[in-house]
Amino acid sequence: MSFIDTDLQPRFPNREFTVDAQGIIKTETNTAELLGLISRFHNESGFELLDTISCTDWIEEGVLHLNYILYSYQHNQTLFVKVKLPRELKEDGTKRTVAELPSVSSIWPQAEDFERELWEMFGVNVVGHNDLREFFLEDWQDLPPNRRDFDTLKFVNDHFEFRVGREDAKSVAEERKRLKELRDMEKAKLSGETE
Amino acid sequence: MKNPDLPLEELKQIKGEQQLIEWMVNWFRKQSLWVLAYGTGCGAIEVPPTMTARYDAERFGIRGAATPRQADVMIISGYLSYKTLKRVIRTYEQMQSPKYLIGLGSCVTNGGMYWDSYNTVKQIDLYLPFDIYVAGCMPRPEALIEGFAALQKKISEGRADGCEKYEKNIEYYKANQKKIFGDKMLPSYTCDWYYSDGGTA
Ligand code: SF4
Repeated sequence: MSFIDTDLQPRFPNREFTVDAQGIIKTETNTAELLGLISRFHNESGFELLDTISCTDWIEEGVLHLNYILYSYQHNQTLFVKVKLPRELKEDGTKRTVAELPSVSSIWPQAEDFERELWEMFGVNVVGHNDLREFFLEDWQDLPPNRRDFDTLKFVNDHFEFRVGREDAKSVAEERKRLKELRDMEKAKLSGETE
Repeated sequence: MKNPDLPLEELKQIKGEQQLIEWMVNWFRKQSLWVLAYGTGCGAIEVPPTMTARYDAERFGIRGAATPRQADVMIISGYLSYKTLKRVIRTYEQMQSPKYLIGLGSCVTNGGMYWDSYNTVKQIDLYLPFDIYVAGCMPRPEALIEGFAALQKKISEGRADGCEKYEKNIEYYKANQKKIFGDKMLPSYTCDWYYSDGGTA
């Protein structure tokens, strides 16, 4: 009997669990149920640890795919709780999503940092968070930089200056070959003299 | 006694009446380069082996210093984000002159493989004056030691004048810094000789 049959399915009869090749258990939910579900996993099923919250921007499907990665020391099991969040931003210029994501920091205080990162890098609109401010960035005005519609190259060209290359821009490979030949010739000349 | 080691070529490079004294001072300087223990980017991994037993940079008088006020050399050891640049400038301004700046790796030189990244500096010599660049991604400790040797040569010839350049062209450097930091400029107390307010803010 697997862990799903013995522990998870009896407690969550209507929930669908899948297991992938690495033995990771996965289940999908929505933002409304998220907090209740995760706290039940934490309190009842022994998932004590929140490893991280991962986020992928699926621009084609119009969603931010969040994974809450939970781990249980008692059962040595990893559980991914998937949430798909619509990726549209609010109209009011705050550059955060319309959809709200409830904070899980009441269960795991360390989730505050993960959520700050989601907030600044993907523009996830986290609610119920005590300390929502920038984590890595400083005074960021543009779109959240890890969203795929943020054009890095354009941003770089607009804001930064590149070093202008040398005018005689030579190909490195050819230059090295030329120098090597020169050196070899010198060596050959030297050894010819000593003989 | 005639000293055959007296480097006449180096002496000739130094102008002015106090040639010999200048040369001696430079000689002392180049024998004890204290490096600020500070690392950014991948080079933060490459500098410790340079200092420890295997490559043992201390035989050249190169050793670590804990605070910027005791250090002579700062190594910018890799990609530098704009957030860090602010701190680096503050640190550099706190160092006592003569001070030298070494750029380690291609990221420092021209952005390297992070050329299209939104948060790293592409051309750091717009904001700080460099004395030596060491090319490579990442340069091995031998290359770094060679960079130090080149720096020592520059010092003994009296050409390592990064901090004088910074003081002389401070308008240029501050204007460039202002361009990217905008109204979030660094506090002025590390550079109070430039700001007229005496460095209060
Ligand atoms: S030059 Fe290469 S090794 Fe050095 S910081 Fe850049 S990417 Fe890293």
